Amino acid sequence: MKACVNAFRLQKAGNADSEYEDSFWPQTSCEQTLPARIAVADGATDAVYSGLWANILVRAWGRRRIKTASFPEGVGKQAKIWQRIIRHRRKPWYVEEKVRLGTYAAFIGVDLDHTPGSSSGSWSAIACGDCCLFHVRDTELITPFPVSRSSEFSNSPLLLSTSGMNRDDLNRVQTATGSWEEGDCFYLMSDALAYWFMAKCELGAVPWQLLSDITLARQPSFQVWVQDLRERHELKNDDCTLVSVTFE
Amino acid sequence: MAYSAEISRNNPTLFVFLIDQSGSMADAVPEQQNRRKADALADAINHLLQNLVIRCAKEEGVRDYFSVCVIGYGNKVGPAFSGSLAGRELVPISDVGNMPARIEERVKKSDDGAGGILEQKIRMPIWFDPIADGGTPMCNALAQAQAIVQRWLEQHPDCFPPAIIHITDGESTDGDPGQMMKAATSLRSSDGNVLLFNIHLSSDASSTPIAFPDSAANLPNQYAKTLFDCASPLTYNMRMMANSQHGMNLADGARGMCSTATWCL
Repeated sequence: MKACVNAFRLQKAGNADSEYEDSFWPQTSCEQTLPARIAVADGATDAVYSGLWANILVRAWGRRRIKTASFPEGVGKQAKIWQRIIRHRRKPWYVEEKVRLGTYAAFIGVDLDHTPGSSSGSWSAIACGDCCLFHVRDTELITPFPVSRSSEFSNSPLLLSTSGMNRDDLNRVQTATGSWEEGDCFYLMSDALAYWFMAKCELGAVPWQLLSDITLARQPSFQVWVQDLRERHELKNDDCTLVSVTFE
Repeated sequence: MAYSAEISRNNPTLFVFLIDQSGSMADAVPEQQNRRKADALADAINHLLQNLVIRCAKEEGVRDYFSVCVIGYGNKVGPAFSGSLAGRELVPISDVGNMPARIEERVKKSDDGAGGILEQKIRMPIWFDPIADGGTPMCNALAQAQAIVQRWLEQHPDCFPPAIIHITDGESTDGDPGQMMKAATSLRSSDGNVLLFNIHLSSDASSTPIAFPDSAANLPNQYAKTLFDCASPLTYNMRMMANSQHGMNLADGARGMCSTATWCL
């Protein structure tokens, strides 16, 4: 079986496309042979080169340079790559000062595996911050991860830092596992969309039906839909990323 | 809900600093006899401007989420930036970031975690130099601030309300500032009234510092009570941030006022 990945993005209203600071893996919609790795990261608005950091993280996850079993070490190696890339760039005093503080990103990475001879498999995920995974089967939301209520979103989530993480931070990195079946769908999102998704669920709605229309039928287009939600103040004005995974 | 407008490059807000530069600012900071209040205040303003620039900095440059106005009052009243920004009334934060008067190298001392002192060289951008000269024409300064804020609001009617941060060590020498302060805070955008923060720097080392009081009961004199009466109530988000991130316990009704506040410089 293969994983069919559809990815969508839209930068914060008022920002240029080049200022989009989320990142996702794979970097285009495609079919992935199983086992496959999917990720979404969200660079911190307050930091510099956070989009670069988000991009480094999802690439490293996708290329299996970060392993769940040695997650802090893997992230630490990627932080050195971030530092090496920006070290020799010319920087005004205010960027120099901010680089000294390091940069940050929320991250969720998912491993999808296939049970040979069947139309099902297993999944595992690791998350730091408020990028989320939602596992949907038919009319049911089976797993929201790592956030299970809209009230858990905050303005100061734990983020992966290029400056290292202490033991308390590492204890807050969360993992989850489960199994999938043919017909299931996974949605990965950065925080603005994830908050909207959770809030809709809490109102008794089934937001994944709408997401299915957007990701598979592409009606309405992701951009038009997000802009409409922002105008109705149902969605926080932030970078928006949606990655859907189905199986064929 | 008031005070919820998004601050963005399309909808920036304004910070106005009103700085007392009267002769009494040459007095020493209580318990720091080698440091004048004017010097401590200049350090504090430069540090604040540095923080504002850094908050708006991204790798491609400084995003203009704010404009900044610094008005000094003492021997004269007017824009108080030094260097290439001298004379400019309203300065986008990107220009503030890119045009400090100079960058000084200073030594920052901090605990090294092993009982010693760690000395670290840091670069300190300077926009504002200390001045201590003349009287305290607070009403004139407030009138200038009000005019600047009014013009800003005509151009940015839906902005997050401008904030006026007023730092003084003495009483006005050109009239009652209360009416001027109330006139300034009666200005509003569609998101709420202009915010006024009054910070009173005292030379009296025996006074008890008071930060963001919710009543005038413990204030030392009528002058402090006027500054309290005219200061804006802190917004809900400000109180929540002060309580959750700075360990304070501010109640509903806490006002943007600090008294005998040299300790915070």
